[in-house]
Amino acid sequence: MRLLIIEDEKPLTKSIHSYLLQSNYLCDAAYNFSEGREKLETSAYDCVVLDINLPGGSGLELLQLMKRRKVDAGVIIISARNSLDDKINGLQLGGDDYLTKPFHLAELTARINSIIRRKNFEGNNIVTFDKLTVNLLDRTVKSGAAEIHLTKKEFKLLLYFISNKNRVVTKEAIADHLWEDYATLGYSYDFIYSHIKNLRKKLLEKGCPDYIKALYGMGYKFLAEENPMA
Amino acid sequence: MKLIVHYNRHNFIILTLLFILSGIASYLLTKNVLLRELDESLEDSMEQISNYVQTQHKLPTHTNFDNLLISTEVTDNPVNRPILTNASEDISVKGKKHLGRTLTFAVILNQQHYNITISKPLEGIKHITRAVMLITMTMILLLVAILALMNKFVVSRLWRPFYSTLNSLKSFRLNNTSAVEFKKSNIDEFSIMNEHLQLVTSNASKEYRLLKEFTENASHEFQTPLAIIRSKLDVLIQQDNFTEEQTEILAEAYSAVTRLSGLSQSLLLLTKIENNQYSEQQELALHDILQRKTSQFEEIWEENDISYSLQVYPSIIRMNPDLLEILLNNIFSNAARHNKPGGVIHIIQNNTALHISNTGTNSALDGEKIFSRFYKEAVNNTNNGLGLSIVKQICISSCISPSYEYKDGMHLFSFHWK
Repeated sequence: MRLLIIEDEKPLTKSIHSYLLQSNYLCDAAYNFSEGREKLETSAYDCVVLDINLPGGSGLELLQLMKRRKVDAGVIIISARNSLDDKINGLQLGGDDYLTKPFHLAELTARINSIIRRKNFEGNNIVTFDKLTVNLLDRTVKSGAAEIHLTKKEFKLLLYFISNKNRVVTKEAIADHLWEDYATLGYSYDFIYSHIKNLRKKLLEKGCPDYIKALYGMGYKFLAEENPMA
Repeated sequence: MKLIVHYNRHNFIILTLLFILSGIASYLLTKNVLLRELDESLEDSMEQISNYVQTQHKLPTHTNFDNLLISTEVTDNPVNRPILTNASEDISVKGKKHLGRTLTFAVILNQQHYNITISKPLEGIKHITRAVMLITMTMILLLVAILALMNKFVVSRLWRPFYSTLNSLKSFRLNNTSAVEFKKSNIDEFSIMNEHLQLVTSNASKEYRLLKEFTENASHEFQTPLAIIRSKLDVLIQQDNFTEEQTEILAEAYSAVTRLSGLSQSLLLLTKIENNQYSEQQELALHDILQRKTSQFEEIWEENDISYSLQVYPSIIRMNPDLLEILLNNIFSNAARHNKPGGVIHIIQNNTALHISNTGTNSALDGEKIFSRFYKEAVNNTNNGLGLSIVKQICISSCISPSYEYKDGMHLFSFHWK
């Protein structure tokens, strides 16, 4: 998988780069408008992470350029402006998703995964993880042959964990993912515990190992190798 | 009370007093003049009588001619000189009683002293009183009529530019982009006032707009550094070899970043609402939205061991759908956040109002301050103190009047649609 990050803030680009590297994505970086245009013209990418405010021009112009050239890459717009107009503009011009700064890298990863899945596996909406088989189309989860019945939130949570497997995901990131704007209303994050507890219970019941590892005070890690609880 | 009414009231009181005083003064003056006339005529009569006594050598008869009352009295103590007094009793002329004046003087006839008393009625004093009163009353009535007419045609026209300025000022809003227009006036005072008001309002609007732009830009500028900090932390926590202490430090830094980002997003939201960026309104089925919102919050409430009741009434309101969403999110999450385990939330909606009450602390909150920015009842780390000021701002821009009261151990927030 090849990714292009067009973002003028080098520290942010570096973080995204090093985070995504763990997911086996090859990342290119462009720090301004002309560099971004050049890279888009010379190489093929599966997904582009695109900032709107760039030195030398607007990211939205690059987006229009890509659509004119029929560049077949998914586009995630990242912007400091959380304005509905910007969001609508970006999506109308052909962006696949819109993320407002400051975002969680786990969230960005989940969105990139989702775009690449949509692009590359048309008609094949199956995600697997160890024993688990997740069907995105009819929203079913199987452990081997046994079906696991999950609620909407639990399903969303599982998919998020799989997207960020082997990585520490903070409780704040999970809350933001599950409730979007509610988390900014200043809730305590206690209410995500019960969803995680239920998901873990359901997975264990159907013979899965305990994938969810709690890291005290920090968050959770979803991984297959270790199996501390039988 | 209008200026003109104040002015007229003072005018009227002063002028009425003036007329009454002038009435009294003219009455007294006229009476004095009449009395002096009467006294002079009494002195004339005295001379005539003295002459009569000296030439005819007899006392005048008691006849009552020329309204003159004459009485004679033999005396050994004649008055030294003529004495003028008010008549001791009313003198009746043609059946009407009148005040009068009396003159007593002495004559000598056949070595005998006589005191002669002559009296004359003061006629016409009643007529004069009546005439003066009539004139005064007429003048007062005329005054009222003239003041009313003046007010209607002259003064109100003079003040018209002032009232037009006042109306323009009433429609002035700081966040309005269009400047207030004041009508030109050819009265110096008003035109100077208008000029200054124009300057002040346009400056105020400009400053306000700059401040808003600043707030919005500042909030936006915060987002990028915050994004960098958060991404760095996201990368950092992926390392496994942290001690417990380091983990705690990281977790606290992470949650502070989350708080800061929430804070700047709330500020940005406030600014956007103030800048009318959510001005587009729609007809919304409030009861449907309430039911949907309640079911969204249900699990959070259940998680916190809070029970709730919902009572809705089909009604359509006009407001911006995003703002309604934000409003409900804020008050619903407040109702749970400031609640206690085993508490309740009651949501009651009728045709014109929405009431949300919840259990919580056992004392009333400060109803004055509760909607102001950064107000915190208690130290609460997860709360940025902006929720209710966002609610208030939404209410202002959507013509809703919010209120808070503490009743029967419940914190009640009410929202009335105008």
